[in-house]
Amino acid sequence: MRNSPKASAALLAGALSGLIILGGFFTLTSGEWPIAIIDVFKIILAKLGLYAGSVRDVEAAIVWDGRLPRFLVALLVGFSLGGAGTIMQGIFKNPMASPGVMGIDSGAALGAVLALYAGLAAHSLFALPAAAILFAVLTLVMVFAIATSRGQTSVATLLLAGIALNLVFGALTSFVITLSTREFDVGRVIVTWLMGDLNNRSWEHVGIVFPTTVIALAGTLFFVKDLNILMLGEETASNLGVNIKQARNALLLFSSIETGGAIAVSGVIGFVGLIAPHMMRSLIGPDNRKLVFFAGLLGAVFIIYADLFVRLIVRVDLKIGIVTSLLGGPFFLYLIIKYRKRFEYM
Amino acid sequence: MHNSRRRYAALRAAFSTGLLLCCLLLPAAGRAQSGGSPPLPMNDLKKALSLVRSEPQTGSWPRTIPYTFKVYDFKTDAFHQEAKAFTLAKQPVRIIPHAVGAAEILWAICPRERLTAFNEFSADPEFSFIADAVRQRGPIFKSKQTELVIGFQPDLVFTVFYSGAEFKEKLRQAKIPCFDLGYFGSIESIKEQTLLIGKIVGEEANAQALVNLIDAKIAALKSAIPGGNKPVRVLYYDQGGYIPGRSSNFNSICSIIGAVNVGAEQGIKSWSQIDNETLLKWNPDVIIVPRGSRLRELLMSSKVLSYAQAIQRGKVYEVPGVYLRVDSQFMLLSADLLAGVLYAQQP
Repeated sequence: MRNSPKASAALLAGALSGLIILGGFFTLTSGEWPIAIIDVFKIILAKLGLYAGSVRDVEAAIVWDGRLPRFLVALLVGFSLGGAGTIMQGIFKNPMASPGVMGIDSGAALGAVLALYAGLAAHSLFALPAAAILFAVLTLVMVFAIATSRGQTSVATLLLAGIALNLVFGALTSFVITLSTREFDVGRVIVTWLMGDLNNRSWEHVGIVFPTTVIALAGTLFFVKDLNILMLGEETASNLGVNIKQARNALLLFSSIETGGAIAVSGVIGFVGLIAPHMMRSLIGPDNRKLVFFAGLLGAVFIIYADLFVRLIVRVDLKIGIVTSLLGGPFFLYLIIKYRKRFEYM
Repeated sequence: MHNSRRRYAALRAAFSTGLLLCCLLLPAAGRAQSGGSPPLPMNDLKKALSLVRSEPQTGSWPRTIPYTFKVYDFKTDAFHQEAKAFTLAKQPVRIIPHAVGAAEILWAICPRERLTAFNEFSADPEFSFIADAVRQRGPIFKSKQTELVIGFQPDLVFTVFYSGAEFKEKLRQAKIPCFDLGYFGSIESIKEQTLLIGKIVGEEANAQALVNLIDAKIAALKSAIPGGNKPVRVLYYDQGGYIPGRSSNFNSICSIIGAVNVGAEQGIKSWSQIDNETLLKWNPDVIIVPRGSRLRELLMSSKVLSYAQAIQRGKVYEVPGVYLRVDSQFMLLSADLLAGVLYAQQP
C-alpha cells in the first residue's frame, strides 16, 4: 500500500532532518581535539543556560566557537543554495537552471576575489562577504538592465545575459588570479576560496549568512504561490492575476541574496543549487511551496556531509566544492541518462 | 622597472579602489610587532654574504661539469636525483639568473659586470635581499619576457624548475646555453648549488669562500644562541591557515637555530592548511606570521585560539615576507632574525 503524499513528505522531511542532526552530532563531537561526547552535550547545555555544572573553558571554546558555527554555516549555506536553485529552476522552467545561470555565482566570486587580491579581506572579516554580496546584487541589476526593454523583461534574454556575464566575470576572475600568482600566498588563498572552504568559520560568518537566508526564505515564501503559477506559463499566470514582473523580479532578487550570502561565507560550492531541487522534485513533485524547503534541507545535508568528509575522512587539502562537484556531477549524469526521454519533450 | 612597478601598482589600485571603495573603509594598518635583537648584527651579516672574493681563478675552458640534478617532488614527497653533465665552451660573461636565489648567489660570488639582467622578483624587496642594488643596476625583465631575455644575448641563463618549459625551450631554440638548477630549499642544498654555480661560471674559489662563510656564520650563530633544556616549538602561519612542513625553507631556518618547526613535527610535508582547533592542539611556543598580513590580529582575536599558549603569552610575531621566502645564502639572515625573535623572549 502506497503512503499518502503528505505522509511521504513528512517521512522525507524527517529523514532529511535526521541526517542534518546526525551530521551536527558528528561535526560537534569530532575534531583534532578529543572531547568526550557527554562533555559536548554539557557544553551546549551550559551555553544555553540549561546546565549549571562545570565545563572546561578550552573545550567550550572549541565546541561553541569553533565546531558549532562551522556546522551552522554549512547548514545555512546548503539551505540557501538549495532554495536559490529551486527558484531559478522554477522561473526558467528548466531543470538545468541554477544560481550560476544568471551569473550571480560568478559575480559574487569576482567580488570576493577582488577583496582578497586587494588585501581588504585581511583587514576585516566582513570585507569579503560584503564584496561578494554587493557583486551578486550588482550582477542581478546588470542582468535586468540588459534584459529589460520598454519595461518588459524577457526570460530568455535574462538567461542569455546571465550566460554572457558569467563568461565576462569568469574571465575577470581568471585575470585577477593571474595577477595574484605574483604573490603566491594571496594566489593560494584565492584558489582555495574558489574551491569552497568552511575552515575556521565563526559566529560572525553565521551572522552574515543567517539574515540573508531568513530574509530570502521569507520573501520566497511570500511569492512561492506565484512561482507555481508562473511555471504554467506567463499568459496563464497573467490570466490568474499574478503580477508577473513583480513576482519574477522579487524571486530573482531573493535568489541572489541567498546565493550571495552563501558564497560570501563559504566560497564557490557548485552543483548543490542544481542537483538538490532536481532530486527533490523527483521525490515530492513540482510544488515549489514544498520544494523550497526540501531542496534547502537536501542542500544542507550535502554541504554538512561534504564538510565532514573533507574534515574528518580525507584530511588533506581537498576542498568542499570539489567534493560536491565530484559527487554531484556523476549523480546528475545518472539522472540525465535515466530521464533523458522526459527531457526530450521539455 | 620603476615604471613597470608603478604601472603594476596603478593597476592594483584601480582594482581595489574603483570596484570596492563603496563597501569598505579600512582601519589603519597596525604596527608590526617585532621580537628581540638578532644574535649577529644583521647589517654586517648581510654585507658579508653579499660580496665574497677569493684569489683570482685560473680555470681552463671548455669544461664539462658533472653534477647531480636533484629535485623535490611535491606529489610524492621525495627527492629525485639524476647524474648529469654540463659543457661550456668558454667562460660565461653575459649571465642571466631567472630566479632570485640564483641571482643572490651570483651577486655574491661573480663579478657583477658579468650579470647582464635580472628578473622582476630579484628587484622586488618582498622577494629579494639585493632588490635595491638590482633596481639601481638593472636591466630587469619580467619572468615571461623570453624575447627580452634572448635580446640581451646572454651566454648563460640559470633557470629553475618553475621557470617554465616554454621559456627553456625558447632559449634552446635560440641556442642560448641554459643551466637548470635543482632543489634550493635547505641550507645544505644552497651550499651545494653555490659550489655548482661557482664551477659553471668559473668562480670556484669565491663559491667555496661563500660556503666557508656560511659555515662560519652558522657556527657563530649557534654559539650565540642561549642553550636551553627544550627547543622552542615555532609555527609559521601563512595566509589561509597554510603551514610549511618538512621540505620548506622555514624548516631549514628552524634547523639552523635549533628550533622545532611545528608543521614538520606534526607531519606536514610541503605545505598544508589547518584549522584553529588543530593549531590549538599543536600548541606552539611561538607563532610567526608574515608582516603586513594582519594575521596577528586575526589569531589574537580568535576565541578558540585564546587558549593557545603562544596567544596567551602574546608570542605571535610578524616577520617580513622576504625572510620567509629566502632560498640563498641569505637564509642565514632569516635564521639570525628568527633567533632574535625566539631567544630574546626566553626567561
